[in-house]
Amino acid sequence: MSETKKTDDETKKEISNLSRRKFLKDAGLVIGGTTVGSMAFASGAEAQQQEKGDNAPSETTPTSAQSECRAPIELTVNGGRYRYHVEPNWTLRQLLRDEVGLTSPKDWCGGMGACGSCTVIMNGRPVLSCLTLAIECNGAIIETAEGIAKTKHPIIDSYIKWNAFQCGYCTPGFVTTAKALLDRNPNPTEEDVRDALGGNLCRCGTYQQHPKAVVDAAEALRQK
Amino acid sequence: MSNDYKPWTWKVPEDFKPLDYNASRQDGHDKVSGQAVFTRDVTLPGMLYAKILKSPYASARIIKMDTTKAEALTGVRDIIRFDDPDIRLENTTGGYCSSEYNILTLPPTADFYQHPMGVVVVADSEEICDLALSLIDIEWEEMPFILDMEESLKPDSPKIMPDVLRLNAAVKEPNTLLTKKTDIGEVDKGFAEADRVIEYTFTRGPNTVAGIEGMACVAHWRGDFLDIWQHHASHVEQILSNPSLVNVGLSFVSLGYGTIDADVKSPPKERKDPLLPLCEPNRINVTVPYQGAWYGGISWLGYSTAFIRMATIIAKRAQNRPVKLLFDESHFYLTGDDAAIYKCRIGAKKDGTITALDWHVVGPVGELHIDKTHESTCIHNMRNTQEWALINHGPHVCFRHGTQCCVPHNMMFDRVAAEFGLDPTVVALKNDGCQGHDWAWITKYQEENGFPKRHSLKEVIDLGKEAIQWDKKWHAPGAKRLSNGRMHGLGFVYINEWSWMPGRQFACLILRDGKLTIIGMRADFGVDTESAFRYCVAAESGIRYDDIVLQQQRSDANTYRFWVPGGAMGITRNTPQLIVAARQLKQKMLEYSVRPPAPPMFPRAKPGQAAFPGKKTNELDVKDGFIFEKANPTNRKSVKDVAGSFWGDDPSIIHPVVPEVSGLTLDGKPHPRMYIMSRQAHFMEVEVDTETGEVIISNLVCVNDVGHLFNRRGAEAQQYGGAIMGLGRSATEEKIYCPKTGVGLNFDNINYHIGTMNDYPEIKCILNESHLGYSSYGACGIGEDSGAALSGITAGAIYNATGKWVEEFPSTPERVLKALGKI
Repeated sequence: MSETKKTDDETKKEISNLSRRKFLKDAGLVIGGTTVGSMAFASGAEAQQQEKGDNAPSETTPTSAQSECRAPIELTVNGGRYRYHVEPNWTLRQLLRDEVGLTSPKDWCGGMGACGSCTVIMNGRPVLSCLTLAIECNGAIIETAEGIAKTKHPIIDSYIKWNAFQCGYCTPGFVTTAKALLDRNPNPTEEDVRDALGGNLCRCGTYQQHPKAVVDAAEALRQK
Repeated sequence: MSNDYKPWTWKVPEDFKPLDYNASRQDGHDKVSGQAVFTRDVTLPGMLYAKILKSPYASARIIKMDTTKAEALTGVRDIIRFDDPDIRLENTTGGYCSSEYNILTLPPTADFYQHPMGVVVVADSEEICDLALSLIDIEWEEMPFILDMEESLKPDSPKIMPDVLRLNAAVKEPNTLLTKKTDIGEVDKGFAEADRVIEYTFTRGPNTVAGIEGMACVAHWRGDFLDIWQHHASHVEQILSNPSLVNVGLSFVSLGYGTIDADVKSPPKERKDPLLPLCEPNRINVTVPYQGAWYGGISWLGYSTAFIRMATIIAKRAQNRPVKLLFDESHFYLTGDDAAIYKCRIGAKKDGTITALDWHVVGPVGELHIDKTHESTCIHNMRNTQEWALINHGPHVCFRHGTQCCVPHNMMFDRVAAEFGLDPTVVALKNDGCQGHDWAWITKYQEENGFPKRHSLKEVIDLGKEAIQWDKKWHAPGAKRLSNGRMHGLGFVYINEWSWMPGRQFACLILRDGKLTIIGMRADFGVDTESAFRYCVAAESGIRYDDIVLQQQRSDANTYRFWVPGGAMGITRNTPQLIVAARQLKQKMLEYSVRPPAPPMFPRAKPGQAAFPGKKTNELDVKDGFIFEKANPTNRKSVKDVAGSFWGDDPSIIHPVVPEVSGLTLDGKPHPRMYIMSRQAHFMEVEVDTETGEVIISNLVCVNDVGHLFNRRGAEAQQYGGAIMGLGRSATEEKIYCPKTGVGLNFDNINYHIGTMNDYPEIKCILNESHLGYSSYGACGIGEDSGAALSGITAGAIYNATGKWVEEFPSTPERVLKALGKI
């Protein structure tokens, strides 16, 4: 088909026209070497913040074709302010992964809201980022597992200590849901934890470790 | 035979205690903080995305395809049709099924609902791929489909999957892949000796791996070099560097068990241009990032095989741009463990001794259904007839290897116990043995081959019974109603552990600057074999556990890799080589200690001195990162100081090759088989609501004999993780197809019932160490088999509660009510 007409000059041009944000993100990845690691992904978003200072919002500039249907939003993600032009059908999960460059909001159920793997905290409440439109997040304060780890919240160490994960794919969704629980209930029982995390699926079957980890984290928080 | 290589006889290092929950886990922070990168997270500069059409039909052929509108879509870079010469459609190149049949890589015919087929779109984003696929106009010809295997076995059934190569020489038209009868002992005589012959039939529904990270593969050509990022497949280099998979041997890694029969009925069609390797093996670099769980079986490994080949072909056309090929989450439902019908006849004596069994099974065949029963009993006489025909389901084989063996095994013990009013644990012990030998014979075998004299099944049953208070709670079927109105029941299953064999894997140890690196490509889903590897190397080498890491993302051009899959197999397959390597490393450190480094290159520089001048290696030891004099432990130097000065002329790099274990002796004669002596037993307590059919699992105790325990938290995780999966298969998980259209009705996480945190009680995990495994210090694996063993546990518990057999798995409330005669 039209593969030949697009892959030579046009493709090279497209690669050379990569946005500055994407360039930084990708450069981080290459500098990271053969390991396409988390550092590389973090570097994209953080590089923008470092460039403009922590309080200045980062932004993307849409192409002319894109700008016709995109709407500007501004939101706070893990303490950093971001400004994007988003398409109406973008989900928050898409925005966080593809634009902010985070990896923690995962996709297991294909955007059906059935697994909890994409859970993030939005304005203090756990939400399924696959079912939340990005355009609805103007002014929102978002926390993801990366941000929770950055603040050295005890839930992180507690999850590691209690081995409340195996493959780790669904784990960020559990961590954000658990952190939201601890924010509103600093002294949960194991039953409270089971209620709160009951909507998160884990194929490795780690369920019984989570209540112990969350109750332990609550204890650590109280002793802080 | 190697009498010298007996890892189970190795002395356990002093002060060796299993790792506990406080030990560091190197993947912990990455995973919990969400920063772990999985294949689906990999992004490369200029990367394109690719997705394959999914068939909306169970059986159909593409008559006409118009891709004009999709081609015109902005952001679409390539569209590859089934008839494109770059797509190697030959049966021998696609392979994602079994050794009995093969499904094509990108065929024009759909063989099952959501079959990836017809066309693949390459575009700037995943969303554009989806949109472009929806814009392709396709004219379909629907073809007959069959969902019932008994129907498909009939000689007058319509031929389905006509383009699919039937690989076994014994196939029968139209759809039969395999008919096989296996006899062990004298079956008819065994039945004649029985006090009673018990007959019953039960069925198992199709279930799925329901994996968590959708399949993804990133391929990037750099000239003639190829970089691959992929989700868990083994031997990628062989898959890509051989023109067809026949050259790979089609064994295990690619298509399942066995090898293709040379005399295939339908040989691959000839092509004018010869098939060439996709890439030379020494030009391929494979990276395996973290892997979202996709537990169980060989069928998904087969998927990987076809998937990786396709990603490589697509990327070649993308002219040096990387391409990420993606499957949707719904593809999880194209694999798994397929439905089967078990028609069973058991001969038994009044004391519970089983004299003969005859299982006729209609369903997919991964191995003999009697294999595990043969391995773990003294039953002499067994017959297994197997019939397997194509049906319009995805390629299903061997999900959590052994489920198809464990369920009939335990149904048999439940039925015999019920028939004679016996306790099923008593019946299990009565028939315990290995390959027809009783335990007295096995005890002799243990003595002759350096094993401790232990009776694993008795040990795990005793531990489990005590934990669940079996003797106090056991009652006759249907005899105990609880105060809440529900009926109380107890269930029990047992079988041998497997994953017991040491392997010949290739890992490498590098000691530099006092830090030790284990190099080997990742095989682990996350059950923490890393920690066990680090720990056994630490214990044997004297390097601190926290100074050891695994570098396991890269294959290092086809050299260092761990056994796939990881988990239980990881421990048994890999630790012997790691331990041998650690011992060699320790010896090397001791030798460094007593000799000076090589003379310096520059004459004016001072020559180095031995760290422990005048000492002999046997006067020294290594512990906690220090080399010290045994007689005077205060005389010590760090490993870093001693080994570091030798790096330039004699680097500490160790990669020994260990032999295979085989051919143990019995009565002084070589013996062709080894006997699997370690056992697992699981105990369940349920409450059955006879009005609604609901089965509430109120208590579950899992006892596994790990042989030797390296990593407590990892082993427990295998127990409760396996139990959750086994319970799913036993009680809730089943794929439903529309009988009129063949379309899957519940291929998603909402309608396919995976248990949640609130569906199961806390599982009590007990580990036994009998040292009866064949791996290091007598270890064996436990993970894969726990899920398989528990796959039928609800049947016995429901029978004990109600006095009625649920004859269909999963044992849903509807089926319980049916068994009770209420619907």
